[in-house]
Amino acid sequence: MTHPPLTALIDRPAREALSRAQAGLFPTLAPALAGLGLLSLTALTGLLLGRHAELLEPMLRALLEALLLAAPVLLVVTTYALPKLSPTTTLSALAISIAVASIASALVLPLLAFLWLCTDITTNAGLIGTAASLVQSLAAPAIFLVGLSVMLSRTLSAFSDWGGERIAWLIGAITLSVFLMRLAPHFGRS
Amino acid sequence: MTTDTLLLECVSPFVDARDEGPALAELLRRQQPSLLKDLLTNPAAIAERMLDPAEAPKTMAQTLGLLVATASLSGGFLASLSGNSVLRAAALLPIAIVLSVGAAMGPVAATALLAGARVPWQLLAAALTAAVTAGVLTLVALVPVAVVLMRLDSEWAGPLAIFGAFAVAGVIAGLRIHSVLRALAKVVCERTGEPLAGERIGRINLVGRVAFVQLAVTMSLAVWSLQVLG
Repeated sequence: MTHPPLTALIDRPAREALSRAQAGLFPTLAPALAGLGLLSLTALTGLLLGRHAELLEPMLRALLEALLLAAPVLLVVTTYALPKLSPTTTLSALAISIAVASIASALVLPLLAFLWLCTDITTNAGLIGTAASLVQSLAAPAIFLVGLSVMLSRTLSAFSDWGGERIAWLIGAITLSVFLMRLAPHFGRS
Repeated sequence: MTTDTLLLECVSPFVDARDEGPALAELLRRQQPSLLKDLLTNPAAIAERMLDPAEAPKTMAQTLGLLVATASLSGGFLASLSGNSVLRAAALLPIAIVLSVGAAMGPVAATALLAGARVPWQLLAAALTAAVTAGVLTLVALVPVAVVLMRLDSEWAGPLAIFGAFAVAGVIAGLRIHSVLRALAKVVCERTGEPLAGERIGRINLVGRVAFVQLAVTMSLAVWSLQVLG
């Protein structure tokens, strides 16, 4: 049975990371580019549903900053902690995690649309409306960032007994805290 | 596919995961050597690369590229914390770090001359650049700590974390130059057939210790290009 490329990313990320890293720079980075494109669309839809469209630019900027800060940490830490892996393989694992996490965040869109429908029919104002708007605006990036470290842990743990998971949670902590730190001022103002 | 591959990789229980293609262990063996890995963990491989006439210019160019990219990334992030111009810091920090290599080179070369352990200048420049790049890679890995601490306390903990990150990077660069010089001497002595023992090791260690101190100081001082204290 041959795997189509998309399910191969999801079903066997470790082997896919290794073979993509050996195929060249474009196959390594392509999942990350596609994932970031999908993520921006998902974030835009979520923000439109939550009536916070003005937050799109700061949100994408915060996400990119979080990824840019975390990627070198991941490369340096895995080089020391997982000697079996070459840095290109680690980069490829990160790209695959970005792609799969963005798919996971896109899969919540129907739920967000359903929430929008319900809260719009019953009430716009008040606690429920505010809570729904907050969930709709923040669900996509939150699921993306949590999904990123889950996928990274799943990919890296194929190469080590315990190191992979710990590194993945370190990356998760960095990306989440940088993202919240950068986005919080914008959210408070609107 | 062997069973140990299935055990290693987490596979969906709802999917028939048997397929063609090489197993995980086979793919792991096929990985190519990587400069970043050698810079951080393998001084012997760095020495081999530098002493290979075909490989040396390529290694030097790649190391410099890595140095400039990582230094400007960390400079940009650190400057955005204190409200300074991001672009200016992203341009200035790599320059400051390259200058710190140049500044450390003179005293190290002088020590080497006096100790009777002259290092050809291309080799010394390449070794210092490789060591400083290892330091900068450590710096970029410590930037998130500075980012979080700066947000929590921009008076004390934040600036201290920035200085601390540079100090740690300087020490890593210093340790690395010592080990790269030792590895270089080992490879050269193996090629010429001269024994590497006793007083020779003492001279290598002397040059290595001076290089350690020089590089640790000059690289830590590169933090001033950021003007974190305003």
